[in-house]
Amino acid sequence: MLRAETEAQSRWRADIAAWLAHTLPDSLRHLTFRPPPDQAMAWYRTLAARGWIAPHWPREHGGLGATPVEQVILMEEMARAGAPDLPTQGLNHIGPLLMHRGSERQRARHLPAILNGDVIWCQGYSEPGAGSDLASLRTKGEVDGDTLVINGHKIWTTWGHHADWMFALIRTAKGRRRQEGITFVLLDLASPGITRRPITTLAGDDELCEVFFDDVRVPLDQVVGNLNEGWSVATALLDEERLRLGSPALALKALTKLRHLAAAAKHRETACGPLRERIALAEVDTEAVIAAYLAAAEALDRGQPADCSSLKVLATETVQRTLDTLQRLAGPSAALRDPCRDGALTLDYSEMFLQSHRLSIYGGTNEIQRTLIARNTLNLPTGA
Amino acid sequence: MTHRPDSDADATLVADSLRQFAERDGGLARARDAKDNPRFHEDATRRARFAEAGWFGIAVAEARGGAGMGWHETCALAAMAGRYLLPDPLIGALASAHALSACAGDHADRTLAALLGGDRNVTLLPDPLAADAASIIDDIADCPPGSDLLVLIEDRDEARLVILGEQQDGLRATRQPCVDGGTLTRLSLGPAAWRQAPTLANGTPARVAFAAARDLQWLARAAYLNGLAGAALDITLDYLRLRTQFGRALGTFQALQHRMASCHVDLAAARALLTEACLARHTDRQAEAARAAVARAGAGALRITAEAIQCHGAIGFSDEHDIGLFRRKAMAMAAPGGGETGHLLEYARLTER
Repeated sequence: MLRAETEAQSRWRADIAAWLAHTLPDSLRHLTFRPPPDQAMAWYRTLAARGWIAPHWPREHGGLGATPVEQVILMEEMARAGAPDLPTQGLNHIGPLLMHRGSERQRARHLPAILNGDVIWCQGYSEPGAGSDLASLRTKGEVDGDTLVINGHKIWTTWGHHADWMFALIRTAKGRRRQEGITFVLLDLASPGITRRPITTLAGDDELCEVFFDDVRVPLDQVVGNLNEGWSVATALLDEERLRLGSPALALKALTKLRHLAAAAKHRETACGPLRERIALAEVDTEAVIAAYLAAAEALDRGQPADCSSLKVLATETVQRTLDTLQRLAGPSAALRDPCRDGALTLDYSEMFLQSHRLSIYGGTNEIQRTLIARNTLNLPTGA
Repeated sequence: MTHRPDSDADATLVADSLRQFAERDGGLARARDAKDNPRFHEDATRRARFAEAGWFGIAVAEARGGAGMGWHETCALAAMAGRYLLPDPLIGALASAHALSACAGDHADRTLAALLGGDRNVTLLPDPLAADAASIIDDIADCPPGSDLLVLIEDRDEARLVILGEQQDGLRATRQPCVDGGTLTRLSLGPAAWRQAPTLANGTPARVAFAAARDLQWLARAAYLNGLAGAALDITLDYLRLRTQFGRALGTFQALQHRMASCHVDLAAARALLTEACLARHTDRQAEAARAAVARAGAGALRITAEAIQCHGAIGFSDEHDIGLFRRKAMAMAAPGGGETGHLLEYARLTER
């Protein structure tokens, strides 16, 4: 972060760094993929106990109520220490949605479990025939007494095979517009009739899965908002969700990986050539993501509109560009599949590079975002 | 030196004052004059009008005759100058005024008064010289005929901020035309020129005055580049809304929409980075922040003005259309300091300390 820090902010930074230095296990440092659930959730609970698991949640809901600057400081120190990625669907998606649209009972039941790390959530939006065109989703729900009976198929569900609960969009009626007749439900993945099949990704991990529903019965009190009005629930916090997707956390993580490679003896020589300029570009690009994140987050905090589609495009493509530089810096090692340790350095040649392809696809592809920017921000005319 | 806190209201006010001036002054027509008329920059009456508006002293403390505004407001002024492609040497002048106001002594006072009064242009060489023996200083921007040049000499452990006047003995200026109608200046200096050059400050005060002015100059340049890129983007968006081909507005084609969206993202990032870089003032990252901002702004302005011409099609390639003026100005404004490459390598050097 370029902006001058207050004394309190510098103390907060030092506290985090010191705490991470003696709390974060070596085995969890500088990983590309999320650790296995037992290790990930142990670290999740450690952060929760420290009060730092939900910096962006308001205090009234058990969060830290941290300012955007404080959040960036936390992200910077986490990236420097190499803290692992954790499941975020609870913290970044369903948690905030329940705060705004959930019933009192739903909030009381689910928010504490998200904060404590007792429940892992996944998002059931995408289907084989409904990706960018989400409103064409066909997983069906029929009301039977006080339950909804669900049949269908969700896919690209991040950590779906490790999750305990899913929030999902289900087609419950035929509306005039495709966005009508969709219901937002919370469902317990231990319910009978659910089959999960992990999907191995291009990067080699099994981060994703597909989920099949055969007559899965969900109590109607697990509907968020009204029946058939789920689209407005799912889109209620689009700006905040894109803000999270556009957070500098991954750009900082990619930059840390680039810095480690640049510091390793084997690659130091190439780093002094023309690549020195590209490494500096990655540093500057990351500062630009932080700057744009602060601009958007501070605007939203003031109740002003924020350019979150632009932020999502910027943040995700910056990660990809930084990792492209990392690949160039790696020389022949660019082809190596597995990361290796070199003293205190972790040299990740290809893992995050391959993994980063997902960034411009998930959360609304960057092509969808660009179309939204063109229409909504730049006011370009729509087609015939 | 005390300044008022950065204020969005003040930033809007100063930007509006420049907008009104530029509109009355003929808007982009002046940028075209400057491109086509080599004697444009010899007209001292424009400088007097800038002085009257108080723009040269925008970042100078009120006690020293300036407006006492912060870097955020100064950048708002420079960004508006960029929107209208103002051809005048505003950025070098406001940075020099900042440096002069940090120096004590008669000579600094007189030079500052002449600059703020519009009697003389002063510009700042952004890189220190290793000794006062240099016989050539090359590629000086913002330095039309009759300008004075502030130079920091870093000679072993000594530092001196000196001023070179074009009228001095033993000094000869030659100018090469740039694509926007401006010039890059080369000074040829004999030993006499150095002997006569007055010293305005020594040691740490010289270094401090220089560093702040240099960083402000890069930030204001970044703002100018962001301003011109924003105007080029707006002009192009208007064109895409109006121009029809195949029976529909060009702006309905997704291929063009996405290119414009990419430009918008690029510009939003450059603007946000500049805002944060201004907030790095008085920290140990001030210098690298300024370099980061100008690297990104210059690269962005070059990308955006190239897209702007492409989206205009053949008319964009004609000299008659104003969009080409933005392309030329982006090239001229992004180049000082070595362009993106130069700024990034300097950023690397500063952060590797």
